[in-house]
Parts: sequence; structure tokens; C-alpha cells
Amino acid sequence: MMQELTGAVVNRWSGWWIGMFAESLLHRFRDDLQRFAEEDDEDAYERLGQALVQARDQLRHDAIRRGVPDADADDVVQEALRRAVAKDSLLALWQKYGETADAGIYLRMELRGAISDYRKKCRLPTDSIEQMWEGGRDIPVFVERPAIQPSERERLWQAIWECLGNDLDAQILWLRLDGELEGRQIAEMLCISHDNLRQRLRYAIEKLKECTLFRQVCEQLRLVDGGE
Amino acid sequence: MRQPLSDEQVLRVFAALHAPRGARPARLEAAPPEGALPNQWSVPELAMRIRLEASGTGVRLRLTGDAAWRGALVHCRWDWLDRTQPDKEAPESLHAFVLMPDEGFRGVYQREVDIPERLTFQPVVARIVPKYADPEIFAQQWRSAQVKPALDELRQWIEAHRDEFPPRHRDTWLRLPEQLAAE
Repeated sequence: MMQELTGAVVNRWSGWWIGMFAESLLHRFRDDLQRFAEEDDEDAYERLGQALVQARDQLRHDAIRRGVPDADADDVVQEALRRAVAKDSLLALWQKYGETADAGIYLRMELRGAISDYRKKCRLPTDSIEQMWEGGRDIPVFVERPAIQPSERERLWQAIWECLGNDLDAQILWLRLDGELEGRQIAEMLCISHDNLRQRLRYAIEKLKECTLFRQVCEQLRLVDGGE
Repeated sequence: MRQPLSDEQVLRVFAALHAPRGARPARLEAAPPEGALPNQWSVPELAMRIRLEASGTGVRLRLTGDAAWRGALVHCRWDWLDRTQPDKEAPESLHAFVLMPDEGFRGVYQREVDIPERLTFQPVVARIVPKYADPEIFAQQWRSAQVKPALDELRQWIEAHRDEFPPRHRDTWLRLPEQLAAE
């Protein structure tokens, strides 16, 4: 069973799982879900729990990828699994989705909830910019989003383009910030390797930090302090 | 000498650039949105205008750019979620290569291509940069693109940029059209 699961943990997109369980396992999961929901079959409930718990490693991996520190990942995953195997949650899953219930999506939603609660409690520390982007995560919500006008925005991009002096690096930033693409998607768009993308991104950010023109424009737009 | 900007300062600037604009359509919706056609967007930061209009069962995509887009091989991409599976996050995407013309009119370069899907929202666009593009990765993307120029046009683009390719990739690029033709 484990082998079947491992092989099925594939098809990642946009930071989420599309299919976590092989089709045969999914059928078994739905059968057990139905037996549990309609016949109150305790054996079926037991099997549901076993099936869900086997995704623990994948959940842990995803929790870390979404910014949960390694030291806390087990706790977050445990919480997600606790919610997932709760009888009322499984009953609600059957009532809402019936024979189309998807164990992978169900677990994903529970993990999302557990991470969200964890974030509220702990307020995750800011990652480096590269880590944040690599993980497909958005600009952290606790970063204040200053409002700028379209003309200011254009000016800022012009400065970025000039400072980087490189069509590739500027496009990487553009695709991430405006296109909202993840690292892998950006690499595909520009037909470069993912490793190359990571290196160029790091290089581009360092270059921007040191670029006088970029600083000047940011200061004029009051996005950073003058520092005088 | 002044200190470089900190991570926090750069994040703040990126947050400003990342902030959603009012008229901007959702990049990813539960389905290709039933937006009105024609639909068009001006992207001044890229000196690019994008227009979609109905054409048969699909749309006609028109890209209009300044000199930076002259002769550029443009990669366009749309992502959305499959509406037929509302309970799942079933991603759909379509990507296309569009070769911009070498000849412009008053500094403006324009190309139209037909896209076989009724897409009404703005694609993400990027120019392939010959100096950095990896021909192997390009070939993968080319094979899976639903819309692309003829191989002869690709050959011409490669020839036009042969001096920009790094030496380690040059031969692979030059052989690429034949390789793709043989598949």
C-alpha cells in the first residue's frame, strides 16, 4: 500500500497537490468513506485513518515548503491529520462530495487550515526573498503594501530595467511580481533551467539593492527612507 | 558610500509593485472567465499592448510592441482552472510562441495569431533571450506549445541570433529545427 501511495504522490502544480492518491486507493478510500458514513462501519473508519496517515511525509514536506519551520512541521501535520480523521469532518466530506470525494484535496484543505492557524499563532518569520519566491509564496501579508500610481509603477520598472541592464533578469522579476508566476513556471517561460533562475534571481536582487538609481526612485516615491 | 538596501526595504518595494491594480483581471480563475471580447490590455512597463478578439471557436491574439519586441520570439501563457471539475483544482494551461516581425511601422511591431481556445483574459508574455535560453528546455516548451511559428521561421530566428547564443549552446540551437522536423 505504501509503495502504491509513494508512486502516486505526483503532479504538483502551483504549490498544491493535484492527485495524492492512486486511482485504486482513491476508490478504496471512497468505498470506506461511504461505509463509514452510511453504515457507521468502524472498520472502514479505521482504514480511512490509516490511509490518511500514510500521507504524513508528503504533508510534512509541503508544510515546510509553505514556510513552516522544520521543528514545527510535525506538529502542524499532526494537527492537520487530527482534523482530517475527525468523524464529523469525514461525514461532512461524504455529505458534500459523495463519490467524488478526493482524499488528496481533503488533506490539502486540512493542512491549509492547520498552517493558517499556526501562522496566526506564531507569525512566521520573514524568509529571504529568494526562499519566499522559491516556495511559490506571496509577499508576506505583514509587509505593508504601499500604494503607488500607475505612472510611478512604470517609473519604478524603468529603473529596475536600467539597473539590471539585462533583459533576462528584468523579465524574471516582472514575471514574478506582475505575472505572479512561480519559479518553475518562470523558468519554463524563459526556457532556462530552474537552477539558473534561482541564481539569476539572487543576483538580480543583490544588484537592485546596490543600484543607486533604484534607491533614488524608491526614495522619491517614498517607498524607502531617504537615509540622510 | 551608502549601505545597500536591506531585504526588508526591497520587500516593501516589491510589495508595492505586486499590489493588484484596479482594472486588472484575475490571473487565475475557476475557469476561462466569460469575459467580453474583444478584450485588450496595455502594459506600459513592457511597452506592449495585447488584444484578444473572437475568431471562430477560439480567439485571435494580437501583440503590439515597440522596438524592444522587433523580431522577438515571444512566449505567451494562460493558466486557469478547469470549470468542469469545480470541486478540484484542476489546472489548465495553454502556451504559445509568437514570432514578432522584423519589419515595423513607425517603430511599432505587430503580430496576430489564432489561439484555439476561447480565452478572454490576459496572457503572461515573455521574450526568449537567446544569450541565456537553454535549447533543450526551449525544445521541450516548443513541442508542448499549442501554437507556434513554422519551423522555417524558427530557423530564421535562430540564424538571426546565432552570434548571441553562447558557444556551448550554439550547435544545439543550429541543429534544433532539423531535430524538431524529424520528430
